[in-house]
Amino acid sequence: MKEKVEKEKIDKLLHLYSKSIKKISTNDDIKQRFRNEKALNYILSKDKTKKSRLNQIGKIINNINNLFCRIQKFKLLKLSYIIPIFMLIIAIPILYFNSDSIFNNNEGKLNTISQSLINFKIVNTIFDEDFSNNNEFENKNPYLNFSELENINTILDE
Amino acid sequence: MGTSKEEIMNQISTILPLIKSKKANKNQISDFINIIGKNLTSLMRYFGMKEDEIDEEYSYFIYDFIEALPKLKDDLKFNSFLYGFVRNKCKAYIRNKVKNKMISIDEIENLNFNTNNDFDNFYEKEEIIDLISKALNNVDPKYSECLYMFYYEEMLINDIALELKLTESCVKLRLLRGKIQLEKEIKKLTTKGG
Repeated sequence: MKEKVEKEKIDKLLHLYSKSIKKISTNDDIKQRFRNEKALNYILSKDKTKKSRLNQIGKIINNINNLFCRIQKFKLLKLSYIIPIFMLIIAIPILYFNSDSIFNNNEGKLNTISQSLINFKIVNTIFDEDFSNNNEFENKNPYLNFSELENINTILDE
Repeated sequence: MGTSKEEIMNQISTILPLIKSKKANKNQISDFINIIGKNLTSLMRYFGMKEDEIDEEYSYFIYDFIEALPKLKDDLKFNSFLYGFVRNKCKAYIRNKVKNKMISIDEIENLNFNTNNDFDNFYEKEEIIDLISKALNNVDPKYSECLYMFYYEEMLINDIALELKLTESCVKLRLLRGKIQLEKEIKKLTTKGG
């Protein structure tokens, strides 16, 4: 009895559904004409680049979707199992073979980098100065104060 | 609704081979679109496309249909070819749309179909219409085609049998199985949403 009742219900659902769609589609001859003209223009036009590109992207997405669906059909091979195993398979050999380069040689690399940075800074500070006026250059660098050196030399000579 | 199937076949019979071989003029193509147009839009509506979506996608649908026509070997099966084509296209289109709106099965069960105001209530509930169209997309096309002819186009079982070249009992059986499958699909969709 239950089955019978439910079938009747679906019968009525389908009737109502088709009626509701028909109600929307009344008096739409003008709309239809407009659509037809648009479609004809599209078919006769030679520029279908946009559409073709969209199609290509859609095809790629569909292919990926299909692949995932096929994978999900096998209950044992669910994505939740596959992804971590796959990651481990990739990650373990990388960690194993490159462990020396990652853990031991860091200091050397850091030293060279820091040195190069320091050199670069010194060079920059030197070249920022104006070499046209030697006096200014001497005044700015306390370690290279030639005037004082000359004074000391004169005192020593005396 | 759209022109009857026999009329369509009579009108198309001369144009169809030209369009298949891509030798048709501008006028012949426009005639072809005018003849098919109404049925195509009604099919699009039946499979859950809304008016704005139909406006956007209509020209692409017709272009793709004309490109796919060379695959049709038996010209007498033109209508079922169109049905299958639109069904697959709509299914692909709706799959790409993200719809998180779900309704519980109680809402459908609580609908009372006895009074005359049911239709208005039903017409207002867009969610239920979406759900049924979604479920119809998942029903086997050989069953859902019979459902479409019987309920939407209001054809008699005799005419459906003649159209699909089947016996009457076979059509009845397909209608029954289609209903059962639709019921299952609706239950699936409703239980997913919780």
